[in-house]
Amino acid sequence: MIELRNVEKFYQHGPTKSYVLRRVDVTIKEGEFVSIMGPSGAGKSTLLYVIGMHDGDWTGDYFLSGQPVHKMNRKERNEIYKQNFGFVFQSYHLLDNLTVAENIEMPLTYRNIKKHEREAIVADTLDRFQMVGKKDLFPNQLSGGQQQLVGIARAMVASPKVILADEPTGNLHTSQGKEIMEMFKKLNEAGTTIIQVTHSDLNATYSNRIIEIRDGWIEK
Amino acid sequence: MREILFATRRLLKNPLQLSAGLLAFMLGIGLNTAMFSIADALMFRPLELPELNRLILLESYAQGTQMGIDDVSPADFKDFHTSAKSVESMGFGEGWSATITRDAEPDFVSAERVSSNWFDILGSTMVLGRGFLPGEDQLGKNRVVVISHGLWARRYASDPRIIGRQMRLNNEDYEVVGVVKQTARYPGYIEVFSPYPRTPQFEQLRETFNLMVVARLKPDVSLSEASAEIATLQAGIVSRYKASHDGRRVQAVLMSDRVAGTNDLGVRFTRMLLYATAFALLIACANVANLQFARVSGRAREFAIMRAIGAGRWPIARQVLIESLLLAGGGAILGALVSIWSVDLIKGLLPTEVWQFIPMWPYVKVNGFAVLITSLLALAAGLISGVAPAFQSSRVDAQESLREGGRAMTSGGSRQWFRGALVAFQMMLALVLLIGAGLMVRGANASINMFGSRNPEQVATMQLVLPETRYESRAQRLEFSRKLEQELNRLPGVESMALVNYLPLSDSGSSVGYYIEGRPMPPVSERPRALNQVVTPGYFKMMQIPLKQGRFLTSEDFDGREAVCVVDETFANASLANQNPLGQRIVQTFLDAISTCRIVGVVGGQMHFAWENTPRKTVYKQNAQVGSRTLAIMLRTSGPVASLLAAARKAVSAVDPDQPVRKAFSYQKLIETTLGGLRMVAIFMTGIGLVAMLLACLGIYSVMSYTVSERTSEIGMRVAMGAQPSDIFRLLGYQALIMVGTGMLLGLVLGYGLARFFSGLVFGVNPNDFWSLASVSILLAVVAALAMYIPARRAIQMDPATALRHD
Repeated sequence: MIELRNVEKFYQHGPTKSYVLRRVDVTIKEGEFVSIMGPSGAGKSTLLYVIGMHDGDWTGDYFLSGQPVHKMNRKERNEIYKQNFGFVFQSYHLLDNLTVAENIEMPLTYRNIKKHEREAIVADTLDRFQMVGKKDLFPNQLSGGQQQLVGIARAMVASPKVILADEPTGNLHTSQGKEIMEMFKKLNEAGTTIIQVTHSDLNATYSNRIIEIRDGWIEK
Repeated sequence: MREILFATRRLLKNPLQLSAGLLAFMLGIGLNTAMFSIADALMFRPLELPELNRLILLESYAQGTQMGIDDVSPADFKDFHTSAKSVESMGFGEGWSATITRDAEPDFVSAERVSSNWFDILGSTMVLGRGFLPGEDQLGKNRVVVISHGLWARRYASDPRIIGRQMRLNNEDYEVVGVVKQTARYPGYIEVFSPYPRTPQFEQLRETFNLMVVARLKPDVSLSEASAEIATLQAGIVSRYKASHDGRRVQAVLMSDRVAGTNDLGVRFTRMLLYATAFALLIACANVANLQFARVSGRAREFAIMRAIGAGRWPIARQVLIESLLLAGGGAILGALVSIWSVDLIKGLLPTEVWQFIPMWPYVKVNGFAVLITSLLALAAGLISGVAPAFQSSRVDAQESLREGGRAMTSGGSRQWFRGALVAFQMMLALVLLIGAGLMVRGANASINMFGSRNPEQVATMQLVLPETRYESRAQRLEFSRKLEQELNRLPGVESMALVNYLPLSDSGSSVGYYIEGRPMPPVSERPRALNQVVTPGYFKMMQIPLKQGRFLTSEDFDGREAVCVVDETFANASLANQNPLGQRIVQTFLDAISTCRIVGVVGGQMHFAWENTPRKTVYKQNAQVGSRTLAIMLRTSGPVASLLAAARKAVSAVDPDQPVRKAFSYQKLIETTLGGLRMVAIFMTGIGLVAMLLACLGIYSVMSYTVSERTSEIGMRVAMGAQPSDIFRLLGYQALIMVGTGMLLGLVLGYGLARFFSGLVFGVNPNDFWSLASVSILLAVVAALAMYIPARRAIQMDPATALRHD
């Protein structure tokens, strides 16, 4: 489903280049649950953002379901992203002036879905995540774990094929983190491909494959 | 020292923000200081006379109409002089026309005949010689003059031996006894002062209203007290001389408010410009406040770190204070430089024909006090908006600011509201200024082009005044006019020719009282007044004045025939409504003279004075029946005007070699010169309006930039959720639209009010001038849209990955 060939990313500092990703070759099949691990500064999040098309400044080949992403312009990438991906952030990145329901609805407003349809989808998602009773609360009224659940619900609301998660339990207690990982497991079992960046070996056990990265290189 | 170094480093770290702050300070302080310095010369210290605020003039009103500051009779003056207790001295002056001959080309000069204590009352400084001595204002002892510094330099090359020299004035010899300092004379345009030749009959003249009365208040007396006393004395005069004085009122006004003469247009326009630059300063202060607020708000984390390592609230606030002081100091220095440059530019732009009425104009320079005050105002704005959030930030728990995650993705509501309100305020003021500028430009152009259809650029004009000493009788004046017309008609290139006593839009005119024969004769004080235009028949065609009824004046209306006249529609509607004007007889009274004429025609109305909105009532009489002393020549040509002017001068000399001419230009240039002040005001208003627009849009840009910066993570997250560039534009644009739209709406409402105010001040300004309102609104909206677009574009071009990592 996702194929990266010889992908590289660097920053130019005067005459020198600082490589963040070096000759990355990665293949991820549909339905996999993959963990990307490595020490701090290894390039984990960078790899995730490249896969999620949030970082456009790289070289190499990237195929998504056979389509050459590396040849697409920004608009085309944005379209293909919307069809395929959802993103979960370490810091949740919820909007404080929107309710839980409104936060979850946000991705749908960018996908030309009519209001009554959006309301129906949001209601389903709230139900699925057992958050109906909290739909009118604001993020600062929720615990960290609950906020991250909202983040995941928001990532899932548009039914993406792939969920990208950047340290999803980084700001949570162990028990809250377990709850999140259980949720990811369930989603994966239902058919969603999950790619997560994590430091936690415990979290990595939920996945069925680990990609190790060090100093921008994929460890074979 | 260390803190100053850190503050400097911090300011230099963001050069764009620093430049914006300096620009706001520079323009706000520079403009205001320049305008204040000019207002100093026009309003606050227009003359270099001791205790100027104690010098007053007597201003007359008749039937509610302002008659001016030279409308007191000699007998009334005597009563005021004898009885007024609120003044320590009182004197008078009367306008006089004078021609200097011998030594050089004949020169027509503005002159004034004054009481012998004139310069003592004013406290004028003499460059050379003396003022007048007691008793010199008596017939037979009055053949002395004091001349202006300007005349001394121009005609006599500043000869130090001028004192005691004989000057040939109106064909009589006068001894020069003094040269008065340029900035210490009043009226400011007078070049020759001579003592008034009083006779015993002088003080009997009760109904001849022709004197300017000046007085110096006693030290402990206020203007209102003096005015009240004068009003009481006037009431006594009115009760004793009802027939001639009923309905007349006299009040005391400050001389400084009437520097340029009867109308206070110069003062009003200067006041308007002061308000305009004050608006611009407010915009600049709002800009500085916004910038400071944004800068400090964005350093919450930095302050939290400082708190965490032990800094108290005052050291944090002190940092902000030092930065504000540095910014204000730099801005003040640049502002002072801008003000020096602005003052020099403005001085260079104002034509001589305008500033000659402003005695202090050549000495205008930057007022240091104004620099200080405006700098302090701008600094206060910066301090309040910087120190306040600094104090607030230092109260927040450091841990809360420092910890990662779970932090707000949206800016604090009250901070956003405050910044938005500042931007709306700036937009409102900028739009009001732009509307004012647009209206002034349209008004100035309308005034200057009032006679555009008459092709004034192809009309040569010049003015002359026949001196009394050589043209005492009407017959002499008629003979001069007859010969002059013959000479002028012979000139090649002349398509048409006319003479008139006072050219429209030349800032000169003569109104006389009148009544309609056959109706009850009203007392002098109740008689209406009409403009008295003495013309040759060709004038009506020259000025394209249409005939409405009857006939024009013709060459058959000459001396010896029945005296006839033509009136304009304004006159006919005001004084002869509901009856046929033709055949009615007008009786005109001026001083002791009475003249009668039969109305033979009614013509269309025509503007005469640029500061009025509608034509005055006008009576036209044939010069061949009047023999006017004051004449303006009008020669229409399709060829070069300059050569025709030279030929016309020769034609005048051919009739009388000693007759000087003045203001020899094309009619278009004369109009532009007369209205030069109005045009300058329009230019200044435009400059101020554009600066205001720039500052307001700078404000929008900085607020938008800061908003984008604050919402970078949010923008990245929205893009990660699938937002398109248009979605982000819409998000940011909506916020900006609220700010800008609110400000512009309020500005339009205020601007409409301003338009109504201007319509009473300037000809050609229509309070419902949709085009002016719409065009400047569109201009501001376009520039504001650009100011919003640039930072928004930056936002959508950001890599979401970079945005999401932004902290």
